[in-house]
Amino acid sequence: MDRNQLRRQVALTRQSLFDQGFLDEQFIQLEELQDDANPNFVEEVVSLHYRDSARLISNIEKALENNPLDFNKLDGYMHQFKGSSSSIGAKKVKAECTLFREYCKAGNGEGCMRTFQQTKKEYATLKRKLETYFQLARQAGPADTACRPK
Amino acid sequence: MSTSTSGGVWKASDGVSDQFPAGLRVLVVDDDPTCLVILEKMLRTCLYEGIYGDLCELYFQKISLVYLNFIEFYRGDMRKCLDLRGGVTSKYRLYLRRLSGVSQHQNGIGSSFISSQEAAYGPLSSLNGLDLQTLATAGQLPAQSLATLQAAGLGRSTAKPRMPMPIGDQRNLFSFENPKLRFGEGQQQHLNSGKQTNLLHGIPTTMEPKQLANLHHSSHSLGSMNMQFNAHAGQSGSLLMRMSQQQSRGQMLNETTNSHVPRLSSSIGQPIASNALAGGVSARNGLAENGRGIGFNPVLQSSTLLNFPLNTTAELTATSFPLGSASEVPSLTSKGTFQEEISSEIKGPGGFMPSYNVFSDLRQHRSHDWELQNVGMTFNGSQQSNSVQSNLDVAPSVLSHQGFSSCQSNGQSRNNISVAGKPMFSAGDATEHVNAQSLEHPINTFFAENSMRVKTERVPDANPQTALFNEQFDQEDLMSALLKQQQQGGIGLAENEFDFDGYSLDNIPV
Repeated sequence: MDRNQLRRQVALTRQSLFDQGFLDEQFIQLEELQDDANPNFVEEVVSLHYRDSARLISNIEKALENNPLDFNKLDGYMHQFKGSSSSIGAKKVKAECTLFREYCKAGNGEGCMRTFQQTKKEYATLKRKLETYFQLARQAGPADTACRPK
Repeated sequence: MSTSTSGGVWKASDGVSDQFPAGLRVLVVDDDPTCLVILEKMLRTCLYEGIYGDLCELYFQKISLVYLNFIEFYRGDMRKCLDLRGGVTSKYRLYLRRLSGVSQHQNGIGSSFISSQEAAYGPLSSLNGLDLQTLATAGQLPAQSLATLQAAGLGRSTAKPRMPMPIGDQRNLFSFENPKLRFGEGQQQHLNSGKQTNLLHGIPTTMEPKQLANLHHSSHSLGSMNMQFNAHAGQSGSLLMRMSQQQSRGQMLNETTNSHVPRLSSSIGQPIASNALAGGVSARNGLAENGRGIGFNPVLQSSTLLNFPLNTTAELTATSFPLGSASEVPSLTSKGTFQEEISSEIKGPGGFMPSYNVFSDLRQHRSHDWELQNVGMTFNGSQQSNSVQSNLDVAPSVLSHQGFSSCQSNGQSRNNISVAGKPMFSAGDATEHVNAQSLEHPINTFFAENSMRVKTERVPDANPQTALFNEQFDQEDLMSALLKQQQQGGIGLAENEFDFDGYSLDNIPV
């Protein structure tokens, strides 16, 4: 693909992430922070998020192995994870986190476990999609600054 | 963390002033690195032109410098007071002694240093390190000291944890050794119960009325530093403290006292990077012993987002520390020293203009009228007249004597507290405005509540600032932890926590 095509591809991929509800407004905020001084800012932040959140996920997993479940603790971990996810605009992941926390508040262990599985799934899906997206974007070369959809 | 403002620009709708002073330093502390990185970028974007060096480093640096400066300021100020005020020389000397004795006598009075005059001052109630800090901030920081501090602070670029001053050696106000800020711990009962942070630690809050009267008459404008600490709670659990210190134009104490930000941590309430770290530190009444507002040129204007347990974003609004002239937007000098910020404010979310009424806390406890409410800490450089927003006059003494007397007499909690009067303060805090109407009430307001709210204890009425103090207390602990961490991590924060209790003037190298 020539550069123009690549760029178009990048744009389409990006748009689909929004359209399909994987990303939200926060991601655009990140894009807006990207500039010449930090041309890969978004990717760096996302990478950082995935690195750091692995730890949070592991914490939750361990906590879910406890018996009985400590819902406060679970809620706390999920709160952290949710915050981190929302800072990169991970919309679906965030929704699952919210649901998880609801189950925590209700003391519903089953619900928590189920939701957590779903959370991990969304998390992995988005990670994959973003990796693809960034790879494509890098291939396309320095892209224009992301603009807010008018 | 959701960024409600694009580009990290504060909008009026955020509840803080839409004036985002350049050079605002923000200290961000959060357990989420993702959030931190994003915030840092946002801040850089906003402060890009004025800031040199690594932001995070600068932030921490400033924090430490603020504390240091505070101490220096205090010393300098006191000396100055001594020089300038013959009549109160002895009192101040006493005070200094008392302060140095504080570290050894946690429980307040009882220091061997205390002279016979001490009795006149009453128990060292609520004299906490914070007070000193407030004083320091409010007062003038000797240029020399400031330079020293700044140099030290800047020197930290070598990433070695540093505390320019060997504060850790002693229990001084900023003694970071103590694990927690102890504002008046085991001390003044006056202090609010709980973990209130008595910003005005160390400030003699008890003073004979007549003694105060001597101090009164300061027609000097009370330059007060308003340290508004703005701390915004960042996303879940992170407090963005903005410590902004605006350079006060007016009589700056020195070139720039940078950052009193560090103070934020404690007196400022909890160091949180939150909203109001920056903010003005309101000088408690006790500080205004001299009734002179001290123009302080807040150098430090950084917003630090400290991850404080407080999830209050509102607290630390980006108040600016109107150190010095409020009008002067602190422009970060290339040197990246706190200097430039002194007049500006520090951060937290909302800019760091910690403003807290340091004195208000004292007020509450003071058994007598000594109330240094407006310890000249208005960053706005409030003139002794009353303009809340005036630049801080570098009054000879931080202590606002007038304020004190006025406080005494009418117990108006609002007296002497000059709010930075800037829109920077988060709404709602407007706490005490300096009643600048008369000379009797020197302005020393400090800090808008927005930022680190220093709990002001207004005896008569519900003091909105009280919350500040409370918060500050928490913040202080956080700040202590932060400092510790910083030191360990080489962030440059002083190792010691800001322990205001053990403030020892004598040991502070100038």
